[in-house]
Amino acid sequence: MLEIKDLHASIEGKEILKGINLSVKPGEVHAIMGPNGSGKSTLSKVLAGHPSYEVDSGSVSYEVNFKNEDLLELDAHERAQKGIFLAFQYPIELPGVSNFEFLKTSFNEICKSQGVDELDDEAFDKFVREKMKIVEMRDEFLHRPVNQGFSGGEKKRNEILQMAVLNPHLSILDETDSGLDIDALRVISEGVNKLKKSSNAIILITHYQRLLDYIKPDYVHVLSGGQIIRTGDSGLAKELEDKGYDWIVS
Amino acid sequence: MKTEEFLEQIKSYIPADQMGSFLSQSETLPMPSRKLESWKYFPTKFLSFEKQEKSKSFDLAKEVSRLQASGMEVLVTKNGQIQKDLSTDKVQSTNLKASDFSLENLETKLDALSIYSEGQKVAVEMQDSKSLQIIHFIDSDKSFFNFKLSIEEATEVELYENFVAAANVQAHFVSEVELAKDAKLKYYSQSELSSSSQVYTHSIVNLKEAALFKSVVSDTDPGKFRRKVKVNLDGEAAHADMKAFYLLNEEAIVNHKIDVNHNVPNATSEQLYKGILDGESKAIFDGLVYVAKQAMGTDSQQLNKSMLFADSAEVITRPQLEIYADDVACAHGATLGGFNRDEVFYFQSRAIPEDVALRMLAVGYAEEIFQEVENKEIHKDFLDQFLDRFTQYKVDIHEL
Repeated sequence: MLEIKDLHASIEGKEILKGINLSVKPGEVHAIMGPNGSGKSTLSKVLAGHPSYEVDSGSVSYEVNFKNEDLLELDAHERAQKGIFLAFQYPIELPGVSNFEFLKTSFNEICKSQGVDELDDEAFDKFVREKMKIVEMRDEFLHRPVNQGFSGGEKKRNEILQMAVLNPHLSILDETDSGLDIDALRVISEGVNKLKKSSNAIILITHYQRLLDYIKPDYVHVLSGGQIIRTGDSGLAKELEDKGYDWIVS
Repeated sequence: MKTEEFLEQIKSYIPADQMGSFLSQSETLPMPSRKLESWKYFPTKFLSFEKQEKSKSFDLAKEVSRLQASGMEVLVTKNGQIQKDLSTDKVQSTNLKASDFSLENLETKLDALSIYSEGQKVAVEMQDSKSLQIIHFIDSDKSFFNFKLSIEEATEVELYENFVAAANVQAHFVSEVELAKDAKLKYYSQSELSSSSQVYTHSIVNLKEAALFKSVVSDTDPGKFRRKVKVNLDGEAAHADMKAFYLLNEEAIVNHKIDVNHNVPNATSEQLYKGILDGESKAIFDGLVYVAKQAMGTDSQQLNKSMLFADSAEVITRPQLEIYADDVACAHGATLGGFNRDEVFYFQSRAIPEDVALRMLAVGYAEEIFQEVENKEIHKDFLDQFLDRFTQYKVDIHEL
């Protein structure tokens, strides 16, 4: 599904990713862990197509519907239309833009790009309310401005609601567990688990093992200095939790 | 314009029997000019009382039917004269004299001209109705209208004021509103100004104990509009909540001159003025919150935010506080910017192309003000007018 080869990327002339190699297949969950400043969030933004990041070299091949795409050739919105989803570490507040309008426009842009009929307000309302149950989100959030006045936990729920609505092939969850209390972490993790399918894949970026108690990864990668320096199974995450990063990062 | 020139030009505007009073009342008042602090940034070169060629006149019946909000009583004026045949019966007006207005509140000779002119001076009475729309049509330079409105204790009134001006005209309006204890006024105003038209309003709003003045204003056309509002918070727990949006293009100018006076303890006020500017347009936000020595417990917020779509557009912002009391919470500020790259990326990461994202952000930017309009039909008017005008704007990430 996703094949990253020797990816180098920078922002404002500073190289952050220094040769990432990663292969993700449908149905897999990959956890990416690593110390602060190791390049985890940069990797997520480069994959989602943030225009502030420059890809210096390397390739990212993305297979969707039996067709191989050069992901780096696509604009951010085209990547999203083809099923790439990034859950933000710090979801953006959009004053004056209602959650409903935002979600509906987003959903219908995907429909349009895939030649499927768009949903009108009534049909979308019904559809989105079903999805809100997945993250136990109250109805009132639907017509409030996107993320404005939401608590940290509500913002993260809203990200997973967007994931549920857009039904992506590849979801990249950038520190979705940060700032969550135990209950919110459980609800959000259960939400993500409900959205897991054999045909889609998830990349979890996290600092902590606790998220991985809820969402079981198939692979755990340690990112440091812009490179993946070790890959293992879920046992690696437990080891990191016990020992920290020092023993592995030298 | 020099005073002598002004007096010469306006001779025919003032009835002969009023000329003496006008001259004596206006003698000490200044001319609107850049020498005045409150007119410093509004170009007065457009002010002229010489006859100009008019581009059109209105089909009033058709226009009223287009603009009329359902469920509201309507008062229609044309060039400062009430059009009884187009107004609804429940709105009554009693003629007033110039001296019935608070002469001490007059700012310049222009205000004095308005109330001493042939333009009507009335007290508006709303009978049983609590919802009034005033539509002003302007297609003449001789356009002055002055009104007073008193809202009784514990009464809530909704007032929607529309200004529709043809090209090459100017108009001046003076209004005074009294809000008794626990009274509420929800005031909405929208303008449709042709380019090269000028409208000047001067409103005074006096609030007694626990009274509420809520105001939402939208200007989206290329004319020149100076809106001066003076709010006197004269009763404890009175609250003024003032919001405005401007969408300016070409050589449009909007000047919000706001004076909020906290004269007693524990009153609150809030101002949020926002806008988008393109072309060679200009927005002037000149707001002053005055807190008297005895006005302890005052809470006042004042913010002006603008977005520039063109380097040739100009914003002058002066959020000012003048505080003489010790125990108050007052904040003021201003921001200037374009669209934020990270906001746009958030849309893009949700499959929404940049051009759609920018438009949604712009609508959201305006909607933060428009959503304050509680009347759904008027809210729709505001939003529809914005969307209609905004199609002419080229939206881009304009990073300053």
